[in-house]
Amino acid sequence: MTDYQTDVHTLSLNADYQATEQFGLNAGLMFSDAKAEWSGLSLQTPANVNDPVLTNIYSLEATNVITSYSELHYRQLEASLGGTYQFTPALYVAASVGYVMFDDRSPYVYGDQDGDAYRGSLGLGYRF
Amino acid sequence: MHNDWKWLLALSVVILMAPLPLLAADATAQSTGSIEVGGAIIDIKDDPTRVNKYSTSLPDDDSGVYGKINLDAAGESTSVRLDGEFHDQDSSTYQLDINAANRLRFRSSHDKFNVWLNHDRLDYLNAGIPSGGKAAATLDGLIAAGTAGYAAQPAQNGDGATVGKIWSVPDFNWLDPNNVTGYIGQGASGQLYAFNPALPYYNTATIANPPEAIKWQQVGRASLYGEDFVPNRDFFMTREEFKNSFDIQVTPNVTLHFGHRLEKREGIDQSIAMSKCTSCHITGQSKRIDEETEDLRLGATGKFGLLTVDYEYLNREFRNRTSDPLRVFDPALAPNPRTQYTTGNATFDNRLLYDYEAGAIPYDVTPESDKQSHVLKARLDLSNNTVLTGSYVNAEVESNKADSVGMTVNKSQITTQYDGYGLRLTVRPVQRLALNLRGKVEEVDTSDFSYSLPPMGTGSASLGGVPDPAYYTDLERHASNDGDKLTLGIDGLYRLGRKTTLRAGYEYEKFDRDYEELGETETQTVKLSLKTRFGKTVSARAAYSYQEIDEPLHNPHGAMYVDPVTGLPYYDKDQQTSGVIDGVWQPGFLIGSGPSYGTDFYDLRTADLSNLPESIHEVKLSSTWSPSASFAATVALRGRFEENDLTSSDWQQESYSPSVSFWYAPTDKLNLTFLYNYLGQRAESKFCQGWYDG
Repeated sequence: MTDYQTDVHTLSLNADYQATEQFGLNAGLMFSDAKAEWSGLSLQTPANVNDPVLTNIYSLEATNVITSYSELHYRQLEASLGGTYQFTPALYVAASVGYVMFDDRSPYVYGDQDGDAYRGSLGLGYRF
Repeated sequence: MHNDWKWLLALSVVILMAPLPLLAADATAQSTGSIEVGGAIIDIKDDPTRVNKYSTSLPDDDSGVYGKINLDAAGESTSVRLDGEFHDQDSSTYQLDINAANRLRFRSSHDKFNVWLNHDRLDYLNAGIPSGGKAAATLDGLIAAGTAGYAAQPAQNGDGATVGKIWSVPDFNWLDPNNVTGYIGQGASGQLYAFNPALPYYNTATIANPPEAIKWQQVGRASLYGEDFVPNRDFFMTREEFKNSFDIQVTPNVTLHFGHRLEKREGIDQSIAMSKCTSCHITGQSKRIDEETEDLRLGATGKFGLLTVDYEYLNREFRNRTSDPLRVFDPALAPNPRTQYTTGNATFDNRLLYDYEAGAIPYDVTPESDKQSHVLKARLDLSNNTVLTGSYVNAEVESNKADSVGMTVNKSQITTQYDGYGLRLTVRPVQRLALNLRGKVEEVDTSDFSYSLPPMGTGSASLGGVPDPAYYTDLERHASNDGDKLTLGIDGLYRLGRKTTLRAGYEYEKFDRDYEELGETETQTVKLSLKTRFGKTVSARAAYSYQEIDEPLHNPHGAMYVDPVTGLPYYDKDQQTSGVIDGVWQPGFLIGSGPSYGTDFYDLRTADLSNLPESIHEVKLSSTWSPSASFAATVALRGRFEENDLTSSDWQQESYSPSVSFWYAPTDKLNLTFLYNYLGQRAESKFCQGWYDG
């Protein structure tokens, strides 16, 4: 029998703050750690198998390392900060910045998928 | 793309302007909303496929202008709601809902976003048996300097030409993944031998001067090679959905419904193919995605006293607008570039559908399909909160099929017919109790469909002899979903007190499959939940469900070969040749005389395998504590336990997911939320590994 174990931890924090009548802030933080691994594989050459081609070239015991190919471990962080400033009850400016980090700690089939993304926006709005 | 952007911009203006005449006509209308325009930028380091997988703004390093709009207007008889966000030509969304005089309702939405797709690097699939040159050097003693090597003699054919070299060896300890000769053998005297053919197409049958009568065993040259033809290509898909619906009240009791949905998927995806009976040569290239799904809905709802009747017709077309990718597969039996590949050297031609000879042929094919359905529902509102609902669904799906290289089909379409009849009765026998009884009969039937898979060489007695046409002609396709299904259920809701509600339910489902080999599945489900409050600050919910599934969909011959003679889980050629399992190696088979995968292995597998469970227990617990108007905390736990205990194999899977969340507003100006969730899942199952040479 073999085991496949998955563990995912997710943490999220968010805040909205109306600093003044004109100025409001919002912030968010998300972190997740996802890990999966396969264990317990113990293939053994059956008794009485004595074909030198099978025992000398195709080691069944060596196949047990395939469990390491199934290891997955991702870490992801997302952080954002945004704000709105109200010039008048109708006219406002909105700005936001964000950062996303993806850490591929066990790259394999799809290569190393590490990445960082930086976002920013600035806009002018009108409420009616 | 550029034209799409202009079209979308024009449509956006029309949508924004459309509600204005309605609002102007309604003197009581009041509206709120906002318009925002600005600039956005994104800078991505390294790989974007995970860090920006689903992009609703800018998919890659870029900057641009964005716009947002929000409108909420309502009058006495008219309301308009609009939310929209526009970034670049591949990222936009809006939702519009217009209600005019409660007689006409128009809903429209559009979503378009980019998805980065994975790129399999195929750089982990390299393994192979080396040519015999290295083994020859080892046997000649060239690797271990100063050793004399093993005695050898040239092997000659009947014309005296050298066809290879034969070594007399004391054992096979030198045989390893780096030293592999073409053949190993044992002479009548017990002497062990090794043979390397001088050219790939020479074999032991050409040896005219063996030192004695030798029984040879050919060593398979199994190899695996992954190759990415487009290593620098990005794979992505832009998904776009445009939905519109009208509801028009034509008389006080009759409303007509019209709906239209258009979904487009465009982009470039990876397409993987594999050549066989050479090295297992796995290659990756790119293919265009250009798919369109279009739905048209027509329907009507009529209310006639206690009776409400609803009918809807759906016509769906799935179209693949792009051509299929092409691949020239490798010549069979050509892992070695020196192999004389000709159509006459057709070792595997009686087992393969195509190879290099077929030229560029399509693969990774996406067939087009059509669907039509009719849904008729009738609801009868009787006295004492008693409601009787009946439904009938008829659907037909046609999937296009066509002949291809290596396959002929007996018809150009597979048609699947669905008929479903449902009846539901809701009663409230006493004030505290509500009961819901339901039954459904469903029938799925797929038209008879057969296909033939003629190999390249139907008349050639190459590997394994002349193929039997019965194995590849007029093969019947069986659909696992065909059959009759009966579902019966009862649900109840009982108020135990002012703050406590108990729900319970039972459902029985029987699926009698037309293809009897896949079994008849019976599913029984029991559900129980309790929801209550403790005082004014604590609420809690507990729910439990249990499912017992008899004969879930499974493959009755999924794995675990059992030798019909020895009972061993592997093929033992010692027993085949000597009649006893004595631990003494007997030389095995040559190409053309060994066991076949299909008849000698796959047909003799005994394990019934399924990834579907036979029993499921699920528990959900949650509680919320709200001690004040500015604080709330929730804890929750979900546990799921699945198990399958088939005849030959079993597996089980456990999942736990606890979570805790807080909401806290210390002042009117500050809101804080916190969430932690853990998901743990453990699956335990048997693992079957195929193990063979060649």
